[in-house]
Amino acid sequence: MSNQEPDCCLLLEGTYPYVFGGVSTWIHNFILAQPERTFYVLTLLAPGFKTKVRYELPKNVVKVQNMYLQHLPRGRMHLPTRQRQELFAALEENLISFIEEPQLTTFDKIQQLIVNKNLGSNVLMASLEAWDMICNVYNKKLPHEPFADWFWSWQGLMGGLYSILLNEVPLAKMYHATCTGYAGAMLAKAHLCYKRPCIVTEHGIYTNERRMEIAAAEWLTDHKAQDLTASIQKTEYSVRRFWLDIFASYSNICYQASDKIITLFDANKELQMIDGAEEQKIDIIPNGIDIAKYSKIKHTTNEVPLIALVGRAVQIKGIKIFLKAVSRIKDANIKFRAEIIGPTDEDEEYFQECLELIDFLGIKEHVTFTGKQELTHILSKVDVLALASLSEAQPLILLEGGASGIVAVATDVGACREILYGTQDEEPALGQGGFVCAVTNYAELADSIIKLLKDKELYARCSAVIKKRVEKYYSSDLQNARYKDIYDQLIEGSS
Amino acid sequence: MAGIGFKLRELVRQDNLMGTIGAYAYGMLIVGGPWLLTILAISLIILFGDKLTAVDDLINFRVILIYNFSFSLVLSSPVVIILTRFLADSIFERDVSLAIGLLVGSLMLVFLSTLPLVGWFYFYYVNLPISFRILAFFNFMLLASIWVIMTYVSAIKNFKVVVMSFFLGIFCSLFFAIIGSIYGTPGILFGFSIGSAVIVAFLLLSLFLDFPYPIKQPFAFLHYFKEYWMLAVSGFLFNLGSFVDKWMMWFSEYGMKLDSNFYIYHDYDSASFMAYLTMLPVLSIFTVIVETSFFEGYQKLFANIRYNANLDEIYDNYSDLIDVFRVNARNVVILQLALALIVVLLSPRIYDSFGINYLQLGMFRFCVLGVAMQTFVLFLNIMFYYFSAYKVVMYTNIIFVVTNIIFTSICIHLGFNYYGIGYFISTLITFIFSSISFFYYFAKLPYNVFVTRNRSTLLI
Repeated sequence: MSNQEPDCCLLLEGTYPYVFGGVSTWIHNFILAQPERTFYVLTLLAPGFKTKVRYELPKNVVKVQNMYLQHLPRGRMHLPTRQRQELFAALEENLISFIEEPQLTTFDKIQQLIVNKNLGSNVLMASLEAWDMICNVYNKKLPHEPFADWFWSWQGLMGGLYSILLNEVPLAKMYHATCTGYAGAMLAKAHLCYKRPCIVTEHGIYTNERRMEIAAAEWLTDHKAQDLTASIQKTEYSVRRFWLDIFASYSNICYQASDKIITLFDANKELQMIDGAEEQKIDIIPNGIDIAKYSKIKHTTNEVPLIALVGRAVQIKGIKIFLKAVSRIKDANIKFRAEIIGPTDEDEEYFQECLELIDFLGIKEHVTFTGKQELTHILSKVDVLALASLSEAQPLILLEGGASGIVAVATDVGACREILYGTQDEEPALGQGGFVCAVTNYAELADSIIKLLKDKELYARCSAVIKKRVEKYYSSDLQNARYKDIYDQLIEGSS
Repeated sequence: MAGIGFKLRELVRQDNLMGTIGAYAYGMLIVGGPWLLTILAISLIILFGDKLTAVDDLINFRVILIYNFSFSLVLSSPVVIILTRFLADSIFERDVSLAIGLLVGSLMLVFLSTLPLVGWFYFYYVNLPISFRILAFFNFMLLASIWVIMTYVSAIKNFKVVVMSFFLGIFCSLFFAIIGSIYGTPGILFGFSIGSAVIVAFLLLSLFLDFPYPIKQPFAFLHYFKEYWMLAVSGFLFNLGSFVDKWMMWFSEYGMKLDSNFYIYHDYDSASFMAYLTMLPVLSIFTVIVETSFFEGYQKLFANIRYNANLDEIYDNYSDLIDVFRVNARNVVILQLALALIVVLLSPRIYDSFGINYLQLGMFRFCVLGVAMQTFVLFLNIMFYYFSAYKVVMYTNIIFVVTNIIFTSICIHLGFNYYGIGYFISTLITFIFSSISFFYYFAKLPYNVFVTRNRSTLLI
């Protein structure tokens, strides 16, 4: 079997099999659910990332290959001067055009310019011409921005792009990226190299997530943002904009290269179309869960009700918001316990801040970090699930909890609203299976939880609704069948 | 270097002549102090010793000092330069708590690394009474310690202590050497070593007072050898290049082998030592320039890069720095060449008035010219160090050592009339190479600052 070309090459970015999390688990289950297909896993990693396999690899994974972003071969030292000047003139023109108006053809041109010429970091990153190009683009586009920021951004982003273009994609019958971004650019490259079918499944919308990340990156000092008198319309091109443009371009060419663009819920579709996705390519396939497994779980009755947030202790999960909500519930004089269930070692600093906040709020008696726990164990003991995330795609925990009848209160992110309240075209409308509240509004979060804890009848009603909705729309069988169809169609269609 | 810089800038800012002269005097002291004083002490002891003891014994004393002086400088140089770098970083990070531990560590490192060679040399190779061997051995270690300790001088603000230690030390050397001369050469050497020991003791004392930290992690700087191996190699090569022609001349036709098994060529040694003195005035001026106007321009360039300057501003600062460099380089070159020329022309008179052997005149003249070139090379090396361009410095110093060996052996072969020319040609070639690389580097400075300097962090 190893000599045969694999059915599908999965293009992943910084996730499976090295990082625990929603997307990784999704990928793991996805591979398990398609036992008749073979998978080649290509994982793109940040420079210096230390790999440690955290999932037991399914048998139908032929190989896991790592590719480090920004890691370039050194390549030849010099090109003849004339050639070098021509190369960089062409590169500059095409890179700017790629950023301003992303087209697969431009991406292809950039690729043609640099591959198979024994080029590497010596010429592309460290030559005098490369430096001149950095200065030229800077002078054309953003001559008043801090140059050092620009320089480092450019080197990082171009290093990423070059590493994608210079690395081989393995031959496979089809390609499946699990996000856009660098993996999406890799998908576009695969499309250009082999003309085999390509699909992309986007859990969260990459450009949107990058936008949030960049907004948080303080080192990109944006003096305009701090200057309140500057009107938004005439803000100049900035280093930030450049970052966003590059990732928007990657999304765009990824969509262009894809035969199908899959996402989990309706709200994402519009964001994808803004980034250039054609509507007829987009399919919505919600994530599903093993209904039979979770509906069987026996719930132990707690004397003191247990509220749980299941997630890693990182900022995006809104742990601090949850802690403030806990403090408010405490003030309402209700008997309860709260647990935060998930690994705490990903962002030590944030975790420490959470511990300090617990001290400050005086809720040490009420809340505990339990670390990672077995899911069935969690579901057997929790009464109310809380989700305080700043961003989510389609959180599985709401479905898993829902299948076993646990009611949830969640911030209005990703698919939470669809899951708890149903889609607009739900027929028949099943009703409310929990509460959705505004992002970062801990008071609303707390009050909703209080309502559920106080009103047994309300709880029972919600519990029945969420159970029913999950069974009907969110079974893994449904999800797997739809993906199987797509795979069958694409692989058979091409051979 | 960072430490004295502040003190020097303060002095230069006092807008009067005394302030400026004071700054140059300090510069002179810091750069040439230990060197100059050592040579001075040797000459004085020989001068006075002449009247007290037999000439044969004095030759042995002189030879031991020259051997110890040159070999201790060369052999300790890798440790000294790495230590300098580590201290500069510590001062930059405002954490000098490891300084004292490092002093102990680096002294041990120098002792241990030189022990086999020096031990073999004095206890096996040379033919001297045992008291002599022991004294010579300890004298070497004392000198090596001084080079290591002097690294810290830049970190100490208390220059008075340094000056006092040296004067007191030299005085003791003279005093005890003269008294010791009653007991022959070992007595002189013992007396001289007492003086060196006084210097070491006082400097150590002031260091311990200035850095009131416990001795811990004495080898914390060892990883710097891996990281900055090019720097260590460069430092070693530069010192090796400075002495290799002297060592080779010992084996020339006119060099001689003493009964004690030392090889020596008295005329060439004193000609070249005297020639080195012509370096000192410009060296002190250069030190002041680097630590003041150059450092300010340099700092402005880098501070602005860090604080969001745009490319136009960066280029403005860059051209300011070029201006500073251009003006000062011109001054330094003219001054050094003028001085060299005067010394070359006046050398017969100088020799007359000091009553020195006329045979040295030819080689002295070439050595003076060579020293001028070597001075420029040294300056350019220091400039390169400022931009962390260690590779260029290493290549420069490799060229220095290799050409010096080649041309010196050719000149030894050609005979007496050519002595000293080898060293001059070598320094000339090295200077040409160094200045060409420097102009290439400086012409593309922003590129080099951003790209070349950061190659390791660019992940490429």
